[in-house]
Amino acid sequence: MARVELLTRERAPLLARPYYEAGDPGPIAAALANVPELLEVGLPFIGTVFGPTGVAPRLKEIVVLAVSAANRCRYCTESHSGVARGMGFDPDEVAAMRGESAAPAAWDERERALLAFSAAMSDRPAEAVELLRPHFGEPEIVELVTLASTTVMLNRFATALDLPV
Amino acid sequence: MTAVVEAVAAGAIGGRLWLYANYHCNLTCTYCLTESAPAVARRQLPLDRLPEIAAEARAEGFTALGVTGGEPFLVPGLAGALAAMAAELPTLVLSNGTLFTGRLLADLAPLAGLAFAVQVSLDSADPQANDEMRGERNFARVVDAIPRLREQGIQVRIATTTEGMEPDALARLCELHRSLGVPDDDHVVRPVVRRGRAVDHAMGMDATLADLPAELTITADGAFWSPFGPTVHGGRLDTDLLLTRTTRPLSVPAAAMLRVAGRAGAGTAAEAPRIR
Repeated sequence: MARVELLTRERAPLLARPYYEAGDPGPIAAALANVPELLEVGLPFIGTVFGPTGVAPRLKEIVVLAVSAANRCRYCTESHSGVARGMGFDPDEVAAMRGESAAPAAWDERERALLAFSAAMSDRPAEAVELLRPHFGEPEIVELVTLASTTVMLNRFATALDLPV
Repeated sequence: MTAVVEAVAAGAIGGRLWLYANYHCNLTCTYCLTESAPAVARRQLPLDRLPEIAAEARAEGFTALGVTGGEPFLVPGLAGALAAMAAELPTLVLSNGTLFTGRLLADLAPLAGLAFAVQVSLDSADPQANDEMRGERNFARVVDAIPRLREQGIQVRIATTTEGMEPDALARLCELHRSLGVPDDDHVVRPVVRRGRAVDHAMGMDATLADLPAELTITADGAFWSPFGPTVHGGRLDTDLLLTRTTRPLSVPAAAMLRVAGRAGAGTAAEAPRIR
């Protein structure tokens, strides 16, 4: 059970209502809805960072799941394991991103760099960026750091509030 | 011209800004929107914040203020804050009318002659019918208080909340308020809204966004669409009409109000809400 009320559609504040129109908006939105002005800017930001951008979705999902696992965020790790499987990652790949095994042999240099970057991002962020530099341009580095940082924020948010998977 | 001035002029939102001074009350009325009672959490707006909000409201372009609760006059020092508010904008305070004796009446003296009125609740000319909803001896105390307030130079309005009053009963109530010196223009009759304690008693009418007055309402819990918004049921604040948790500066909830009003297409002058 979450540590704060997850607002239902019936209790959704006025500014939050658009996020409930397509059904259950999920526990992150339902928790943020307690402060609608945060929801209003937070969800579009999260949606932009996690959505289609200049970095391929497959590479972004490696970062999201690996950072979440490194931060031991139960909600984010479990939910994004499902997302990864839905995107076509095989069980060995998912296990590697969850920190349960080494990177699959078939992964290329960029994918391996992202796994190392994700592991370092929470406690050695400066070093983490250097792990990316041989493989990504600066706009991609900025995007990947933003993605990883946002994931860290959500890891803390979900863990602190004990959001249900 | 501010965006609020334009929206008020267009009828998109109401000109009155409401403040919930507190949530506690010396009464426990059967239809209370906020489940107010003596022992509930006070959730009081800081007293010095009330005149600040009044000044912000005037700068934003609101045209009047309303203060409600709870019973606002349970807040120590409220009369002084009301005087400061009335210096900014015409101010109406809603009260159950049971506390206007000695010291409080004296505290209200500086408000005489200002753009200020007290709106007292009185639901029937029949003491028993009134007191069934509002508590023992409520009728007697209210009928005693109204002339005292008027003698102090305070404008008094009467609000009647009803589930449907027979014409004869309404006529008797109107005779009573006229006899107390309150003219017809200062008598408001409104339906019970099925929120708060009225839900438990299966009283009143359901109300949607479009039914309620679009009047920005500031509470200790945040800003709401209407004074009928920050209701409490089962001890839990209703959030369906919450706009923002941010209330300072007032421009934040005011902007949110205007966005929702624009989105809802709500409240043109020709499409007045059902509940005032």
